[in-house]
Amino acid sequence: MDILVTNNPLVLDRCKSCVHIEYLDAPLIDVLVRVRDLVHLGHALRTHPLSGSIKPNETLYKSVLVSGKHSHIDKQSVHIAGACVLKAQSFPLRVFNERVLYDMQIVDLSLISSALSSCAHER
Amino acid sequence: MKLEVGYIQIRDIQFGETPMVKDGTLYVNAGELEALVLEDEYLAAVSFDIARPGESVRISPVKDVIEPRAKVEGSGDIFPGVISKVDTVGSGKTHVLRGAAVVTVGKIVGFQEGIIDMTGLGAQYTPFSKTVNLVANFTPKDGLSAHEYEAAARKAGLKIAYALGKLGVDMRPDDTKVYEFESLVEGLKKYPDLPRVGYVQMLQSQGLLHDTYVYGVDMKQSITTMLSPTEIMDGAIISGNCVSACDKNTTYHHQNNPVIEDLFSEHGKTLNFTAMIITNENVYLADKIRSSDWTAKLVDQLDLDGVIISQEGFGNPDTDLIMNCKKTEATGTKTVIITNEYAGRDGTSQSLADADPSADALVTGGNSNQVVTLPKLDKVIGTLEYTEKIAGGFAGNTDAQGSITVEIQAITGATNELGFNLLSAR
Repeated sequence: MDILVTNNPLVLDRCKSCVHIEYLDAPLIDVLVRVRDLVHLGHALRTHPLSGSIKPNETLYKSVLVSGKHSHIDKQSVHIAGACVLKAQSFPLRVFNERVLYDMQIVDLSLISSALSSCAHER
Repeated sequence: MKLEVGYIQIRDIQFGETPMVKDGTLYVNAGELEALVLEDEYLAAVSFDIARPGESVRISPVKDVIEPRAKVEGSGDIFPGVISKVDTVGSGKTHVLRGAAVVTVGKIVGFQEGIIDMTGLGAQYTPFSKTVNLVANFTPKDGLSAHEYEAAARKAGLKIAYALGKLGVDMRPDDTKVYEFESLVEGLKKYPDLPRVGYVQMLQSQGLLHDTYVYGVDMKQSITTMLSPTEIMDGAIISGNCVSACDKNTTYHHQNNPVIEDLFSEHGKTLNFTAMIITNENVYLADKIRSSDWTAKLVDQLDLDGVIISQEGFGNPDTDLIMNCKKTEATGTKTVIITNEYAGRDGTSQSLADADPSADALVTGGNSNQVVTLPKLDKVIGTLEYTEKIAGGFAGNTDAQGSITVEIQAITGATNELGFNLLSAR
């Protein structure tokens, strides 16, 4: 079963009925690290962790879909997930005010929704 | 396909009663354009401003930039499948109001960008400081979702550009250029000894504020395909991509793609411009694998000797870029990629989120993390409310004198990945 790792409360609210969610009340980088760790445990990436052109320090929210656990490690997923953590760590942290948080949630929801739509076609 | 493009040089835009082009000035009737825009039930208001090169004007947050063009002869019409019927474009005659641009502005989501300065340091980083800009600032109706607002603003900008382009239909162009894209067999017969070179253009296609439309089709729902580069000059590709100002392709960039321009200028001399391939950049990894497989398949079946691949955007498109590059190189096709870099403010970080030894020929549009301080300008079109929040901005980046310090990624077109920018290295 796929797992949607997210720290976006809007994604939790909108997607919880259609996909299994692991919700983290944590910064964006923790989502990427959790995804990397899952990939090392045998889950494969279903979506790219750096979805969108919005830089990792320009949004607080991230949602990444991984597959259920396989018996083997997916090398491509390990490569991508690791590179994404390193890339995200290279951006300096920024502070945002409350007014833009919902907008950030909306964009992250849209990005992951486009992937869930592709995913639905695949099945 | 053969397209004759006539350029009508525009040196100024003025508001006037009668819309027309006269002596290099484009006269626009703001009231008529307002009525056109407000036909859309989602928009409550629009205001127009004119920004000229050298004026102390800052435009922000910029959504799209569009060049007014009109079809004079040949099938179809500008912006097919979106503003006009879906018939195939790219042949016959097209007139361009060269030097003029429509710039759309509006707050779609609170942290969006970019900036166009018409003078000062910022002007050196954006090509749109050199165009005379009609700026349309849209106000949505209350309660409109971000998706609805984005779609309405996108379409309104295209409608304005389409209406202005029509003013050039009966004009005699100042300059004319002919672009001929031969069929595969014709090209091979004419240039049997020249290397067969293709262009793969990657199009942003991920969701809200990250989309591109081809003949009206959302590119994320398309597989990799081919078209004639002359179709793109007639507005077959339009931008719905509002994020990452420095490396997004506005509609203007698509209409004036410099890779296509350069390939045409070398066609028949040093190379045979054989194929134009477009592919997407979806979030879903299986889509990336499928699309890059199709890119390589087409490149292989067309028996190309070389291919240029241009990227759009940051982060996960790096993976699409590397997948495309690895797979086209694996077919034995020499590959050059065009990207930009996020190498940190000191330029020492890894530039891309992905890499591969096969990506050994790369052209860069520059380091988007480079920091610049832009002086206070006298007039702002739009709002600076978001300059701290835009991509490349940061808290406290406006000083007491009104100067703003940003990474150049905040500036529209600064590190464009088609090479349509002004940065270079020596």
